[in-house]
Amino acid sequence: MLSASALSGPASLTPTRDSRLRPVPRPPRSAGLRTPLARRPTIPLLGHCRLHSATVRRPSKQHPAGEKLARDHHCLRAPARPHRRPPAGMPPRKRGKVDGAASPDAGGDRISALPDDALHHLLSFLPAEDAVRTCVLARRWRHLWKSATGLRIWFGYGNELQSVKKFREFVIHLLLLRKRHSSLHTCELRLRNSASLCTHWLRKDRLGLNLWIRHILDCEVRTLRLKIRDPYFCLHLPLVSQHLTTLAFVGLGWTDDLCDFSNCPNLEHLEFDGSTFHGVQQISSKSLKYLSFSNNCDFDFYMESDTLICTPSLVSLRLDKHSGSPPILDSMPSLKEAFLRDPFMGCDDQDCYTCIHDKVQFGYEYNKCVLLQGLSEAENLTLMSDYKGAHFFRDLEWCPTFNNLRTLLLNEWCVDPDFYVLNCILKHSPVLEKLTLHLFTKAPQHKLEMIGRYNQMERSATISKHLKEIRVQCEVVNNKVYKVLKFLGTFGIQS
Amino acid sequence: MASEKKVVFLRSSDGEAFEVSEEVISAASVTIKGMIDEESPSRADTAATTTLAIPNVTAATLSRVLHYVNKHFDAAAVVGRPDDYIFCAPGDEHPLARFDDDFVDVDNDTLIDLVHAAEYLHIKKLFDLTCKAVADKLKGRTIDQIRETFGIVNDYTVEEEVEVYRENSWAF
Repeated sequence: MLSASALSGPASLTPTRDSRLRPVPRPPRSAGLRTPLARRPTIPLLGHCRLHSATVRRPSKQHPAGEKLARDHHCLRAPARPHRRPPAGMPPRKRGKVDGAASPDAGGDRISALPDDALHHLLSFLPAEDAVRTCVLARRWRHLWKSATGLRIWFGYGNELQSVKKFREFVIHLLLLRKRHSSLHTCELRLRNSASLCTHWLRKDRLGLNLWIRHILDCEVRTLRLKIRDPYFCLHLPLVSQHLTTLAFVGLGWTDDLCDFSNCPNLEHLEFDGSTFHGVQQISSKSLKYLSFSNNCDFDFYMESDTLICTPSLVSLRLDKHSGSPPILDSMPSLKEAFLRDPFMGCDDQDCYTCIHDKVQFGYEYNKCVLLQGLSEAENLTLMSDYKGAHFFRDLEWCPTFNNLRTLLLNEWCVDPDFYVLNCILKHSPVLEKLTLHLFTKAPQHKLEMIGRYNQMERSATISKHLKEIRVQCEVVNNKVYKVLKFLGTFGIQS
Repeated sequence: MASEKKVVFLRSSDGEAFEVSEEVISAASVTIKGMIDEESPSRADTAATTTLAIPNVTAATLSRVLHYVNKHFDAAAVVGRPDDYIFCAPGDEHPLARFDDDFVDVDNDTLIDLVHAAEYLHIKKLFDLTCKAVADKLKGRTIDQIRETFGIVNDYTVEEEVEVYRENSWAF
C-alpha cells in the first residue's frame, strides 16, 4: 500500500524552474512500497508537487521557520526564488518520518499527498463544476476530476452555470471528457424546477436528458439518483444495467413498462420521492431489498387498477403518505421492517364523495387485504396515520397474523372506542415483545412517557407471552389516554 | 474478556499497541481481515494473541479509527437496528449520525490522516465519511481559498495555467 513518503525520492528534490518544463526523472524505488505505475500517470509532476510539502515540512519542528516557508508558498507564482531550493546537502527524507500520517502538525500541502484513489473519491462528493475546477489548483490536480468516482450534476442550485445552454455544454463535456474506464460509483442528476427556463428546457430536451442517463448507465454506475420534479418527465426506456445497485428518484413520472426492474438484476435499493405513477400495474424486482415511497407518491393517475408491489426479496419497506389508492403489497417472506403512514382520511359518512369515489371509481371493493397481509412476516413494524388509519382498519377485517412481529409502533389511529384495533393486533402477534403507542403527540419529543410491564401472574392468555414492555408516549394524560391505559390494564399490563 | 473473545493487537507506526476484538476489526477493515486470514493457519492451535503492524498509521490516528470502528461495527454496542435498515420511526435520525458529525469535526490535518488510514485499512464507511468531510471543506470555496486552506501550492507556469483554463473553459 502506498505511503506518501514513498513518492518523493531524492532525485526530485531539486525544484528548478526547468523541472517544471521537462519531466523529472523518476527516482529508483523499492518494490512493494508503492502503487503500480499505471495508477499514477502524472508521476513526473507528482514528484515535483510533493517536493513542496517536503520542503515545508522539514523545518516544521522549528515552528516559526515552518510558518515562514508555508507563507512563502502562497506567492510561489512569482519567478523562481533561490530560497525555495532546499539546502544542498539535504539528506533524502526518511520513510515513515515524512509520511503524512506521521506528522499531523506539519502543515504544508497534505491534501495533495493523498493517494489518487482518495482524491478521486473525495472529488465525487463535490458538485461536478467544483470538482472540475480543482484542475487549476496545481499540477497534481489537473486530471484528477476525470477519474472522480461520482458525478453530482446539479442545475439551479446556486451554482454559476445558470444558463441552460451553458449547463448542457458543461454536462456534455463532463461526460465525454472523463476517463472512459475509471469506475463510477455514483451519479446524481438534479434539476431544480423553480427556474422557469429549466422547465422549458426539460420539456424540449427530454431526448438529450435520456441520452445522458443512458450514457451514465454505460459508465457502469452503481448508484443513480435523479431529481426532476416534473410528473410528465418519463424515461424513454426501462433502465438496463448489470451494475446498478441503488436507484433514487425525486419526482419523475412512471409508466408500467418502466417499473419492471428485471433488467437490473443487482438492484437492491429503490427510492421514490414524490413520484407519479401513471397507470402502473406492477412495480417489480426480484433482487430488491429496500424500497421506499415518500412525500406523496401518486398512485392514482389514470389508474384503472391498483398497483401491485412485487418484490419477493424485500427486507425493508417504507410507504409514507402516498396519494390515491394504496398499492397492494405482494408476499414478502424476507421482510424485516416496514414503516407505513396512511394519509387517507376516510370517514364515517356513508355518502362521503371521496370514499365512494375511492371505492367505486377504482373498483376498490375491499375484497383484499391490501397492505397488512404483505407485512405479515415483518419483525419491526410502524403503522402511523394522520387521520383514522382507514386503510389499516379495512385490512384488519382480514385478520392478518404477524407471526414474527417483535416491535410495533402505532399512533392514535389505533384508539377507537372499542379498542378493536389494539385487540386485533395484539391477538394476532404471538411473539410481540415491545409495543409503543404515540398518542396525540409528535415524535420525537414527547412530554410524557409511561413504560408498562407485563404482569406475568395476571397475564391474559390472548396476547403474546413475550411482551416485555409497552411504552405510551403522549403530551398529557387526558381522558383518551387514560382509557387506553385502562384498556391495557385489562391484559395485566401495569405501569 | 480476552478469554471469551478473540482479540488482536494493532501496532501503530510509532510503536503503540491497541487491543481490538478480532471480529469487530475483521468486519470493519478489509486490509486487517486479510492480515488475520494470512496469520490464522499458524496460530490455529495457540492461545497467543496476534499483533499486527500497521506501519502507515500513527497512534493518534489509529486510536481514532478504532473508536469509530468500535462504534460502527461492534454489533453488541450498536443499539437498535443494523445500519442497513432505513429507519424505525419518523423523525428518528440514525443513531450514529451525531457521532459521525462529531467524529469528522477536526482540523484538516487530522482529517487527512483519517482519510489515509481509512484508505490503507480499507474501511469503506470511514473512507466515505472522511472523504465527504474533506469535500465539504472544499465546497463553495474559490480556488484561492482552497489553496490557502490546504496549503496547496500552485506549481503551474503562467503559460500552463492559461492552457489549463482554456482546456476547461466549459466549466468556468
